[in-house]
Amino acid sequence: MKTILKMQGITKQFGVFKANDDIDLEVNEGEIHALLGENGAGKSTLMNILYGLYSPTSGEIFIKGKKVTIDSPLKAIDLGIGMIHQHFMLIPAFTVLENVILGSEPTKRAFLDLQEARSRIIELAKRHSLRVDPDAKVSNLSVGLQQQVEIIKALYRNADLLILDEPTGVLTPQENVELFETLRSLAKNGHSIIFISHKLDEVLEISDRVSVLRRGKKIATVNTKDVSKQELARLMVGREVVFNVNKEPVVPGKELLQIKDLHVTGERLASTLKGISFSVREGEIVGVAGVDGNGQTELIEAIAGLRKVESGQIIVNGVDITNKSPKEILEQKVCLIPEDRKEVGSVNKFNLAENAILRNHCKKPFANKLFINFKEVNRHTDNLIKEYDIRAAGKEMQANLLSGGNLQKLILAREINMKPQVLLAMHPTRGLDVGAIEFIQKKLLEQRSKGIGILLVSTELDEIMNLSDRIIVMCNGIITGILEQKDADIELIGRLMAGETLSELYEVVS
Amino acid sequence: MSSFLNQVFLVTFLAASIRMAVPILLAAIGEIFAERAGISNINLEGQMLVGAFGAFLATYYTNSLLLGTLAGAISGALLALLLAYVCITLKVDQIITGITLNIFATGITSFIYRALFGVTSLPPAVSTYKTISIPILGKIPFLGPILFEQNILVYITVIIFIIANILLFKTKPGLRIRAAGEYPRAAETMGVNIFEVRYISTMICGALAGIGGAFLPLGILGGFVEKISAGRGFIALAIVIFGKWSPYKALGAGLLFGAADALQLRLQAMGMQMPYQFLLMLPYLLTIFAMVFTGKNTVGPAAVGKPYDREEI
Amino acid sequence: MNNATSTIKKNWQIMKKEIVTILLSILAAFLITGFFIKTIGASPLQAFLALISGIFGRIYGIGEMLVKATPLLIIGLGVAIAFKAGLTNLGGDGQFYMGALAAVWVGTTFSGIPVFIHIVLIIISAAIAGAIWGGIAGFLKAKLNTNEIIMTIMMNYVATYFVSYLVHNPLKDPNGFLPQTRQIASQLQLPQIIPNTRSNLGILIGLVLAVVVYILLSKTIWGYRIRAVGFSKKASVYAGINTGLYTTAVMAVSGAFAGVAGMVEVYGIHYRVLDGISPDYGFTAMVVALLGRLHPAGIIIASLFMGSLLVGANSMQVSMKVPSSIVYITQSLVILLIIIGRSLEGKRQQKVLPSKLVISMKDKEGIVNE
Repeated sequence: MKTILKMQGITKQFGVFKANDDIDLEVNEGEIHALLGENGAGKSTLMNILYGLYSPTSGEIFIKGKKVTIDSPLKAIDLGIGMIHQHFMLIPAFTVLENVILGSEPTKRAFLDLQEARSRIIELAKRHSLRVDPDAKVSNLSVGLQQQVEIIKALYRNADLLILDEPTGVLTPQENVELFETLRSLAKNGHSIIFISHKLDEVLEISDRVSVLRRGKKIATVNTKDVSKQELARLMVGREVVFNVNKEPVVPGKELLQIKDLHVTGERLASTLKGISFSVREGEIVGVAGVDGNGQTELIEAIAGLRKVESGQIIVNGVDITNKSPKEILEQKVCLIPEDRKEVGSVNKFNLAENAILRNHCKKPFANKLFINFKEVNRHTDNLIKEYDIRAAGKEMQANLLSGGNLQKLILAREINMKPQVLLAMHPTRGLDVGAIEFIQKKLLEQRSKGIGILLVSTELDEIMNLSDRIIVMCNGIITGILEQKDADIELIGRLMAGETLSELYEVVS
Repeated sequence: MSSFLNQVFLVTFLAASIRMAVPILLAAIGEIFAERAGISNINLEGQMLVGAFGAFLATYYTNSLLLGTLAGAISGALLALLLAYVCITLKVDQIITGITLNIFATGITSFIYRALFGVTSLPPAVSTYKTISIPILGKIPFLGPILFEQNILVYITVIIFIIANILLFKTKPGLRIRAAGEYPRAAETMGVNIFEVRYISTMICGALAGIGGAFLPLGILGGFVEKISAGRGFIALAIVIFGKWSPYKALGAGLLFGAADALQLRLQAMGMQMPYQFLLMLPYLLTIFAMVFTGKNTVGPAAVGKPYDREEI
Repeated sequence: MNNATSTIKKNWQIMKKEIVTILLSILAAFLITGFFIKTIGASPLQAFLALISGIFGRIYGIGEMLVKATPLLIIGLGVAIAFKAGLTNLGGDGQFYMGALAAVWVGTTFSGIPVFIHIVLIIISAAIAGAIWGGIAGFLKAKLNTNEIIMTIMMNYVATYFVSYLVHNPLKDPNGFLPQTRQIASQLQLPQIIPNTRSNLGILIGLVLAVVVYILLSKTIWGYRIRAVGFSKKASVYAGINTGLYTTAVMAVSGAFAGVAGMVEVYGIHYRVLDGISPDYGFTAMVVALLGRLHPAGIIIASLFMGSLLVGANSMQVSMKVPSSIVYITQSLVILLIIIGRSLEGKRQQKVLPSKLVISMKDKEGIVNE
């Protein structure tokens, strides 16, 4: 077994902060090697060093036994390293062809030679069963297809070592299966693969070996077949992890939120809502499952007053709030934890106190007619910080210096403190470490017990299946099925996410 | 009023429109390069101004129009280099830097001009570009004198536009420039050197703006006055937006502004009853209208105006 | 109590760094300016002395410093408010002219009104004229997303030519040949505050406005919303703020300030509107706002500094034939060096700070910075 990559003693410091602390990593030819760690453990940093985007503070890298210095992505590409980033490095305004050739453009005299590139791409796609159209504009492609373009980009440059950074967050279970097949085929053909993930099940399924990172340090490298999920979790987090959530049974009450035949224009055709109807009752969590980009964002935005409703109704407690302003909707006790905590949920340059009153800054007791009552604001912020265990150097601190988990806790605290009747939570635990995830999920269940109706959107199927009383699956802007928690299983949800509707499936059965 | 429709008037007016459009068009095409690469170059006005002054000085002392135009290009490029250093390497805000360097350009040109020439009743003059008539084509009735009896810089401008369009959309550097302005991080991961692309694009912009500025003393006025650029740099910025960052669309808009410029000179000369100030306002009012009627969702390169930091965590 | 003292200490550290940056930048800018002076054959040292004596050598100089600082202060406050909302208002000149125009028109067209009411009307009309001129750009930005930088600059030219036309024709003083309006009545003139100088009540109006702006931005709901819109438009919409309204209103307020500055310049100094009454005050005011870090106290100091530069440049021109446009070189270099200095310092802070937070935030679960 030949060693294709060896990273030795890699340390990366940003100021005094060590993102990577003396890490060793070895990958063999033809191996699928998983890099496992929580959000913030340093996995992406390590791979950015490997790809030449960052330079290590200290440490050495060996490719095929030879010591190398990778000071730019061009160098990494030359060495046969290809990277498929978590957030795709694709230019939306360009076509697939333009994206693939960028940086390695074939030219005839002074002009771009597109002919040759086009045929190469088609050939590569066929060989690995990828479905890409070279002349399609990237912004029109689904996320799954965009990922395939990223893979083609790497293969076009003859990459031996492929790095995939959290590739499954944007896929349906079926697309996931496809991806794993592609990876196995590539490995069999001699390519080596580094698979970055924080999801234990995937790592156990696809990898040959696993290296675990925690807080910037490498904890262990193990053979996948020799290790259990529990052990991996313990290595990853540093303590015992409980996998099941304690959900007390709650009898749902009356309907709080009713969505009736909602039509909303979305960013793309796939995410345009084409007639959505459902309801959320007191004391229940309704989870919305589906691949990102199928209308979930538009649905939440429409309810919160951030997007125009073309037709249909949104009714809260008997009051029609369709197309009302965010302020009026807040009056009706509908609160929102937005998807983007940095750009929408908070004002990044405001301090914690100013962010704590972001939504009700003009209301008593925080404001008196024209003037803000800073004493009250500070008192309120202190309470929130204590109750939600928000770690910060002080409430004068700017919000953009908070860690993701603490910022999300602040936003959660703020919204819950306004005593909502309906709480909209969009990807509330995305990008957070295990401790913060547990805390937020606990709080959501607490609110459920108090009789709040919660609409939860998430791409983490585990989360949806554990927390929801009922699950709505969306695909292409419509609801393909509504399931009770007890009827939900991964395969069924996966098929609903891919577009089959519940009624179609029942037809088949009967 | 009847003289308006006089053929002679129309011909000279349209020919003048093309001539007056040259400074704005050159600045606009330069700005298209800069913005396509991601740099919002508010210093366009200043680069035209130093280009005009550099060209004037060089031609005044050497009597060579070629050296003057070259000096204009170099002056504009140098100022653009300063902007590039501050905004790309030091990552300072592009808008504030651009405005500050505009003030600097005004200061330095006025200062040196006053110091060298003082306040005279007869301002120093320089020679201007002579008209070159293209054989055969220049004899075409009506269109001939308008399109084919211009000075050399007008012809060069047309060639620049054609080259720019091909460069931007059909060549390797053009692809990289556009990538740098849309999603620099993605381009960097494919091996494109963003700093290099932006530096070069900005300096091309400065050189073109400098040549455009050079045309003011050397092609139109025959001398230099303080603040000779008179807001044309900003009009060029508006044209870029109006033309949706595409050379040929900007060409059309630029010609329209040239016409406005030429019109007000002509109407003045004809002794129209309207006070000259309203005529002077014309190009600026036209720009305001153009901006209002530019589509609401006109978006430029996605990353324009934002400093790029490779190691941003 | 511990927290308060450490915050004050931290703020003082930051202030110290800022003051050093400013002083170094001014020194460097002066040195470069001196180099320019040398190239035209004058002695930089003599020029510098001429500058100092022009300002501080006699009481008239100090008065002139206040005179020049006043429009910069008032317009600068308006520019700062716009900056806080994320808007760049370069239309100070045009708004200044419209305000001056309205002020003179109201002042000379009506008579027989009690002086106090007349003055109030004059100030209001100047503010409204400036507000309209600025508000148009703000409205277009809010509704159509038109670039306010280009728009306000275009409107400067329109306003300047419009006023030029008026002072040459309809509003021209019938008693003379010069292109200027009639003179306002002497009882409407702003009173002098330092004898034997041109310095008038205007500077006090500016100081009052500075206090008003400070309270507005830091203590009111309006200020909170303005700052929110400036930092993050999306978050502001989420927060329930009407961003379109605030964009328009802020540009209008910014314009109103410039309009009032125009009124003050007319009623305190010239007593009429002439061609060219504003020598690029709008751009210089932007420099003042940036120098003052968009804080009213800083803007007061910056406007005095810039005002003294303008006075000094004039005396340099008079006594040593150094063209006064050199002041543009100096002021642009000062601001350029300062913003470079601030930018470098800011990037340095960013690399250092997160680590400190990680250390103070570490707990047994290790919630790490993303």
